[in-house]
Amino acid sequence: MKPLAASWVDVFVFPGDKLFKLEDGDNIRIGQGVFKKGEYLVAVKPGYLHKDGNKVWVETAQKRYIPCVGDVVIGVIVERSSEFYQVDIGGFSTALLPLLAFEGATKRNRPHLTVGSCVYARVVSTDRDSEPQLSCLLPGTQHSWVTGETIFGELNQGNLVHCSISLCRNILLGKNSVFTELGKYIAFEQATGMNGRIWVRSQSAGHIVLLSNLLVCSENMTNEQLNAMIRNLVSKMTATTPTAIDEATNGR
Amino acid sequence: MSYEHSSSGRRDGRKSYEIRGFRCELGYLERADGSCKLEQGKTQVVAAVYGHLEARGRTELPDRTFIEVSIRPCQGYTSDYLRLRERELEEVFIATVATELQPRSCVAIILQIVENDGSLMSAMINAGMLALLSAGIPCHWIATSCTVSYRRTEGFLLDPILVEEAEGYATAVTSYSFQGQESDPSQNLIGLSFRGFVCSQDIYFQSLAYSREACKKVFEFIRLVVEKSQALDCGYAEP
Repeated sequence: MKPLAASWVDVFVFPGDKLFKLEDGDNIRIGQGVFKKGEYLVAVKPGYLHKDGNKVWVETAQKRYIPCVGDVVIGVIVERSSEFYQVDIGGFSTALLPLLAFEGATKRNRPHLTVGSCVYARVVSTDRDSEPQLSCLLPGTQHSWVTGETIFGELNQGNLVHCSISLCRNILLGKNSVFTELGKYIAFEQATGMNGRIWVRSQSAGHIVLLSNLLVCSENMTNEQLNAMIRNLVSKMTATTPTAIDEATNGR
Repeated sequence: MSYEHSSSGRRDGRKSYEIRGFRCELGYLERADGSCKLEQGKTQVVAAVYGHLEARGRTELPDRTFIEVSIRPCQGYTSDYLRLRERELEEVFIATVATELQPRSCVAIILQIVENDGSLMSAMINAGMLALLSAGIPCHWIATSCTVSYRRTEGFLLDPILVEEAEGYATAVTSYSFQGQESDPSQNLIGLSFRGFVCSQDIYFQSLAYSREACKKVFEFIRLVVEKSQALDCGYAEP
């Protein structure tokens, strides 16, 4: 693979820009925003070009999610047929989740999800001629879905927050410290999907509201600003909720 | 070149080959996947792109993406005249978008005319392109456009205002595609819509050469706008 410019990595590229010239024996995985045209790799989206080993992709700030194999996503069930759940994952079409794609599920004993319930799953196939397929199976886990200890599966209670894809990406990459910082003060559960959705659950409705608001705010703040805001809000919260007051008195 | 130093000059003091100043706001609309407001002089267009959407019925093509362009006038309903323009724009955008990448889907491009002061078609193509880029729809190239107005005495004028358009005896909307900065635009005429007749071959070819240069300027503008918008988006992620 021959780069066509002096430095083609971490530069801003535009649709139609030729990125690399392919040579015999190249083994390259192309991702979002890159397209093979003849013997060239060409960008089809505007964004920053990234290259990691033999992977090449363009990172775009876009609102709509495009399913990609291996992504973890949060979906909402929209329909149920005899073999599949149809799940809205924010892509251009709904995704299919087989009824039995849960850890330890059998025909007799399987989770019954209703329309409107949230599910945490991973994308297993994104064929261009069919709907994307999801799965809640994770090879190597010991738990059955019944125990509720599996990583993937239905998300009960809690609140689903819609946000931008770049925020989700930054949280998953660890660039955004909202969860690590909040974890110092309150107990909560979270699931972040690559499709611009974050699910949170905590001990009380007040805590969930606090979490959801902080998440949305965190997008346009630096980590220092965020930490200050979290400390401020949590201290106000502890002054009002009884459980927190109990904890505070016990501490004394 | 006798066309350049016209004795009368233009109403707004431009030279015949000069285009008006551009202003653009990317991400102008909250709900659309991609949007922009483009001002080309006094001509103002708001473009919104929704997509990829799930295609249903006649919009579902088994091998490629369906592109739907709708033009909304400042007031009243979409007239037959605008319907025709929609078809012309559809041709340009079908060629531009990499439609084969996402079959059975639909991309809707909505163009709201806010104010028309000449070169409306060009403004709509440029605005549509910017909205496509901001939505992250995969494209083969960047499409740019420029209007040329032909007149008897002064040759031609680039990017005419409404009055100049009415005075001219022919108008051409030229669209060029750009693939990379060093691409040769002489090969890349992707759209040419003519109204009226041009009497001189000389003037015709000259006008194409000048409009190509104007399109190159538009291309540089689009690059600048898009790069800036994403730099802001990613800015906070830097440690």
